[in-house]
Amino acid sequence: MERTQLTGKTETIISIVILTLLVAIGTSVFYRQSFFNPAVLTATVPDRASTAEKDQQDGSPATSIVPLPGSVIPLSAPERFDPETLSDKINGKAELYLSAGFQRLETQRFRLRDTAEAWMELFLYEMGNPENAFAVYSSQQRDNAQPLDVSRFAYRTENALYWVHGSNYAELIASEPSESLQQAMLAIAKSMVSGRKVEKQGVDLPSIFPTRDRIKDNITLIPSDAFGFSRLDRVYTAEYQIPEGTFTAFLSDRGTPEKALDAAEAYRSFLLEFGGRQLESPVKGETASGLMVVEILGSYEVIFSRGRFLAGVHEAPAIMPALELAKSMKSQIDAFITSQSR
Amino acid sequence: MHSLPPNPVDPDRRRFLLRLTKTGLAALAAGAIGYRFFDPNPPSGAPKEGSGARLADFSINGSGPQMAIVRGGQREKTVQSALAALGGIERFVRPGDRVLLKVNAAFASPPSLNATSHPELVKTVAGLCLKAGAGRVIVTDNPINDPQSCFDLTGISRAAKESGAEVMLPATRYFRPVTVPGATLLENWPVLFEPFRFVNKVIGLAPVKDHHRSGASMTLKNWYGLLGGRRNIFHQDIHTIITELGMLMRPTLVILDGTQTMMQNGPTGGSLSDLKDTNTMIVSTDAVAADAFGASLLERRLSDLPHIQSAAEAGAGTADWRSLNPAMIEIG
Repeated sequence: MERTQLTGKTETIISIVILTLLVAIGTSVFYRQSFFNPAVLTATVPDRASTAEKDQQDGSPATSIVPLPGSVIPLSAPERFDPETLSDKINGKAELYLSAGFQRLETQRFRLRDTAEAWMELFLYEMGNPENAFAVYSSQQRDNAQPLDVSRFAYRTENALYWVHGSNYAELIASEPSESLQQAMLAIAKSMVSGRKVEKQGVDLPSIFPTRDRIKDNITLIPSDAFGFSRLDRVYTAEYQIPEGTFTAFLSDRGTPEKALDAAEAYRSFLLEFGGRQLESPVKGETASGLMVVEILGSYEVIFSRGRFLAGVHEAPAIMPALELAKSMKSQIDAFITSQSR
Repeated sequence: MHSLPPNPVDPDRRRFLLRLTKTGLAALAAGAIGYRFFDPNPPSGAPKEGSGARLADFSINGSGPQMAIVRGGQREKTVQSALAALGGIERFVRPGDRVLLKVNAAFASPPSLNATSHPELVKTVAGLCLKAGAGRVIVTDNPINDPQSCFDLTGISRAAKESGAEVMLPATRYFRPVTVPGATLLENWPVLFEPFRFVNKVIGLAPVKDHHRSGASMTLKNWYGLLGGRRNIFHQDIHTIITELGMLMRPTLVILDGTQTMMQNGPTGGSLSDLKDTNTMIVSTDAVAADAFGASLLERRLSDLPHIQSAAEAGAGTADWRSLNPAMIEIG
């Protein structure tokens, strides 16, 4: 039989109308959805309970995120935060951690078993790697802090402990300065460190900085935009004090000698672009070779690369001390590279 | 001749009807699913001009001193001295008034860390308002952390209770979309509106703090605690939002507590070593002026805190605090 036409004209028109209607509905939904209003995403009090573990049925907080000494009991349930919710806990300070590779935060409050008014809160930041943890530790380090025998990078103040353990940065903050709280916090910190095995403890580069004239415990890791230059990231700095004033030494592992040289050239160009003037080094010879000296805004910058490291001196008030420090850093870097190759 | 049997249904038409039926059922199913997600009260799309509620103007008119700066180490004494220099609390709070104290209870921090309004100050101010004849004193904030924990652990709950004031914790139903005329960020944004319906006077109480994003957190930034929604997005434009907060709120008074100043690691702080004893209490009818002076306690220049000048340019007050001829008092 001859195949007849499947649909007539009327059926075709009806089909087109239906399809057109569907397309119009889809388009209008897409159009309305394009007006995203973040105010309404949570136009109410956020459900903070969702970040906290539920208490046990008897009302006492659930588990502890770290082993506790007998004198301490949980005061609240643990809370956990990720990059999306970190600002729900620490507000405007979140950017400091997010820009340094933050992954998650665990917090919990504890109190002394026999003193309800004496409490403390533990903040345990997972930063992804020891370098990131050192970055947030060093950028917030308080002056005149006392050393703390918990880990390689640790200090205490009147009411708080701060330390780095592997990729974790930890803060333990007490409600008041008291000896009993300090003792309890120290026990918590030590049990946390001993209970969490890490592959790598701390960072090694700070040991490269020469100690002469260095301001004690003032080594910082800048995760990004060091000295206002977007290409300078993961830069360690140390402060030095001389009669003429203070200045900064810097050091960064760029991975390969080629990248280190490229970074040195880029930073030099950056300085020249902003009005710097390259000078010929007043010191000649092998130890001074490869040192680029730039005068800018009344201070001196010394830049060089050594192996895979970019290094130098920033905002020095006088050129000779800057060059001396740079030469000293060269020697330290050479010794470091040698020790690593053994 | 036999007649032909009734014409059977055209198979093409049958196929079409079948397809139409299937399509119709699919459309019905889609419609049913769509109806399941239907929101009879949808969020508004693009902000409409003039939409959203507005907060009232709680400032008082008339002449009289507008700012007092008192040096001293005890909050109870310095704030009373500052208020006395402005004509006494009675100038601002009359019998029968209903007063809102907008505190900073942002974090569940102990008072010693100075990250929140000090309970001593809250208790003193609330007590003074009630003594002046206020019919009701409400203490409120929309904290960053769990509200109950924040008000309890900061000591503010207890201070309010001891003074006779009441704490109003934020609740879902208390927020309404508010639009600030001329603002670019605060358009139809949920604001803690409900407490303001019951009051005719508003006093802001804020500590002087460093802030990682804005450089400082003082009386203007204190109004951030009225915002709901995912307010953390405003951190990307922090100086603009603080300016608009100054446009949002016209308080009766602000009290800037510089007894201790959080000099670094704000807004949370954490170590007592972050604090400096600056022993200063500032009370003013002008939040911009109060913050402009407060910058000096933080050892910041006004150029370091651009939101102060831009709030002044927006008409929220004056950055030239000296022009208010403040009363300067020293207490032992």
